[in-house]
Amino acid sequence: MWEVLRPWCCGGAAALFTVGVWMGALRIRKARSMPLTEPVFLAVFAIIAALLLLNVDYARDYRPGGNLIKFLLQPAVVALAVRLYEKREMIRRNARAVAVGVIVGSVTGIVSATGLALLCGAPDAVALSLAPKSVTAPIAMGISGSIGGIESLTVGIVIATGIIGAMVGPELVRLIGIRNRVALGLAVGMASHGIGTARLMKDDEASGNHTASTMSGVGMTLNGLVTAILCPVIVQWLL
Amino acid sequence: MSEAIQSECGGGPSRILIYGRGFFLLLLFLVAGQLIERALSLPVPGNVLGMILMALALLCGLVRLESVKPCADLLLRHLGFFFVPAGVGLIQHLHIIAAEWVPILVGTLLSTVAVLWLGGGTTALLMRRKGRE
Repeated sequence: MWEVLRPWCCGGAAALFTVGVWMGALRIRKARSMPLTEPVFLAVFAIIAALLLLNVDYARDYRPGGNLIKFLLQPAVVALAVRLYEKREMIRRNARAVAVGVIVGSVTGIVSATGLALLCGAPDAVALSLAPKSVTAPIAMGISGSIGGIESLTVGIVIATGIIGAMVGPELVRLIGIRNRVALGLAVGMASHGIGTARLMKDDEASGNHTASTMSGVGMTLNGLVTAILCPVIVQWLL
Repeated sequence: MSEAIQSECGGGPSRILIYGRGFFLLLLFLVAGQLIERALSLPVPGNVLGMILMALALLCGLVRLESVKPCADLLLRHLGFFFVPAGVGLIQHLHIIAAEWVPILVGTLLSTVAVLWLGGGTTALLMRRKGRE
């Protein structure tokens, strides 16, 4: 009897536990807002620690509940089209610079991440997991799965990339003399997706000019789109 | 398409109907994208194809912004939450990180800097040539 009920009970408990941890993580973010208190990072870290400490069988007892939540990523990717549509005027005004910038950024990301990992002696599956590392996690997962990477390793690397971009992204872009808000926002969004965009939103809140964070959102979505199309082709050629 | 649903809901559709309609449209485009992926055996994920279709539908006025925006905003506001379980999946691959942390770290750090500089630099250069800020 228990064996029949088990997946349902544990699934529900895992989903509820994840919701609870997420709410706690949001509270910590509210109290101390900085890149390292990124709620996704805190929640993943806390849940992994709890599963290890309590000796929970991940595949049997956590994953079914987790998959319940994970499914909602699918329509969320489609929802990104709405953000793109809302910013169509700003994209149209800088169409050529945005298009070329995103293609260069996307190719740079795929080639440098995969190439450097291979040069440092990583096995193919690990190097492929790095290929979509600058792309927003829901799209990166799909890419990683389809090119032979490890989905959850990609998610971990994507979150780390986002935190790096949020910590030093805008500073690094200014370091090479870029003052243009459109280029700055686009670069940070391309390199560090939603987590970098959140940092720029906070900066823009202070300055009252929302150009950078708007372009960051555009960069994140367009880089996801372009990388999803280019990654399978480029990776084939790299390996 | 959305107008028919709109009129069905009468003058003031309730919140559940507003979100439900948006969710239905998002799922519809998701399924369409996944079908195209299967049918043409494309290497592009079906959800990204669904996103492209949705952007095109919004641009040609086939779907109105008001029909999907409330639900889309709700999903995107909590985007981080939805990929927490995928991140927890790392628990099965901790040994890979322990063994391969050097290439992972080098690739992640240097590649992030490369994207920031080359992507941002190209955009800034093209905009300067056009003489716009």
